[in-house]
Formats: sequence, structure tokens, C-alpha cells
Amino acid sequence: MTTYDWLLFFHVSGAFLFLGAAVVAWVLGIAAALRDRPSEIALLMGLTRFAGIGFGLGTTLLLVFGIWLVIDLDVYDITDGWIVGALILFVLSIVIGGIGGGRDKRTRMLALRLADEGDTPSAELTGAVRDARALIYNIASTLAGFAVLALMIFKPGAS
Amino acid sequence: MLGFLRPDAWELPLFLHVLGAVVLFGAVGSVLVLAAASLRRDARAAPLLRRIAFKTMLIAVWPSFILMRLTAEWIRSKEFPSGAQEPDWIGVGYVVGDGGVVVLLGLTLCAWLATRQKNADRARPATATIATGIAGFYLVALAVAWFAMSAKPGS
Repeated sequence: MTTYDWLLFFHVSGAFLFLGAAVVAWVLGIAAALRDRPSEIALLMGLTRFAGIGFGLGTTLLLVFGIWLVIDLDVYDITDGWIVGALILFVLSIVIGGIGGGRDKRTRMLALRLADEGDTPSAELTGAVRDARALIYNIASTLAGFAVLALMIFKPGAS
Repeated sequence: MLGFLRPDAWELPLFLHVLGAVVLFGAVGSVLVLAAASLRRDARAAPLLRRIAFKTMLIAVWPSFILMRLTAEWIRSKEFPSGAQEPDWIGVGYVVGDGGVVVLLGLTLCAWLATRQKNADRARPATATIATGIAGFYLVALAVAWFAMSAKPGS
């Protein structure tokens, strides 16, 4: 196996961890949005910390080994349009996802507080867990992440 | 950097194959998180987690598995048309892909049986423990498959 093979494996591992974590976050987020009881919402949103681990590890592997791959291969350059586009989309995915994740964290804190105060359904919590703005942030972040995957495979403009 | 030096005609099936595999990895990861968490929760929360794990199998795991497996065959037909010699790493993909049907059927069955466990005295039913183990095992198998697909050892 060549250096390229190993670099590609770790880079692909980063992609699986990052995008797989997005799927985990969606599964738990949708499940939480379908509940009314604060303790259940807090429980499901609390489990998204495992997705956070995947995001962190995946981001590190993707960036380190992705850039290393570009340096290792003579046919590509860091200034190639599809690579620049992928980097921009990846940063956007992380930033927008972070904003959406921040709103989700506040919702979880609210759910925890309400769970301690009688655990009865609340319109405020239901509104927060089904917040359209957080949903838009999360959709945009996920689409940007999968768009990076598409760019990596289709490589528009590459020779 | 995926798909280095591939003909244009392989790109769509490759993208759909990787998309299916990535979603499958995340969906099985979700089942693992839910099933494992259900083993550590009180009697009221555990059934909810097991129900969501089972629904995730039906709504996310199986559709993504089908997408991954069908597009694998699509790209194989382009990369290795009938009669072409197939490398060993393709065999790893077949083991994880076709063997995955049996593993995922077992996981679905255990996840379903775990949802039927209503006895509050049995907070950790064996089926939920087995489902957690199977989900973890299949995640490792998927990692072996993507190692074979990306690093292509022996080729």
C-alpha cells in the first residue's frame, strides 16, 4: 500500500465520521421534535453529544489528511476551484451547524429545567424544539456537508 | 479526494454508493447510541429509546443499505464488466454488503423484540444488549469495508 492509499483511507474515514455524525444528530433531533415531555426531549438531545464527538474527530481527519493528499498528489493544487469550493462549503457547514447546534443546546437546557420543574409539556419548549430557524440552519449545514462529498467525487473543472 | 482518476461515467454511481454507505454508517451508529443508552436508563425512558432504535432501523438503516448495495452493483458493472478480473478488495465489499443482510435482519429482529419488553423488572433485556452488540459489530464491519474500498490493499 502506498502513502496515497493510507492518506485516502484516513480522509475517507473523516468523511464517514463527519457525515455519519450528521445522520446521528438528525435521527435524535427528529425524535426529540416528536416528543412533548421535557425529560424525553432532554434525554434525546443529550445523546447528540455522541454526534459531537464524530464531528470533532471527522473534521480533524478530513482537513489534515485532505490537505496532505493535495500536497502529496502533483495533479491537484490547493487553489483548484473544486478544492477551494469544498473548503468553503466545509467551513460553512461547520459554522452554520455550530449556530444550529447552539440553539439546540439552549433548547436542551430549557428541557432539563422544565423536567426538574414537574416535567409537564410546555408550549415554549415545543416551539423551541420545533424551531424553524434551527431547522433551516441544520438543513443548510447538512446540505453543505453532502455538497462537499459531491465535489470530492465529481471534481468539476479538474483535468 | 475520493474517486481519484475515475472515468466520468463512474461518478454518479460512486457518489450514490458512498452516500448510501455514509448514511448507513450514521443510521447504524444512531441505533447503537439509542440501544446502548437504553441499557443505562430508568424503566420509563428505556422503552422510548428502544422504540426509536427500531424505527431508525426501518426508516434509515434499511433504505440506506439498499441504496448502498444497489449502487455498489451498478459501479461494479462499470468498473469490472462481465469477464473482467475482480480484485480481492471487491470480495470484502461483498462480505460486508451481502453478509450485512443477515446481520441487519438479526439487528432488526432484536430491536423489535426489545420494544416488546414491557416488564419493568427487566430493565436490561437480553435483546437490547444483543442489538447493541450487533450494531457495534456492523459499524466495525463497515469501517473494514471502507478501508478495503479506499486503500484497496493487495491491488
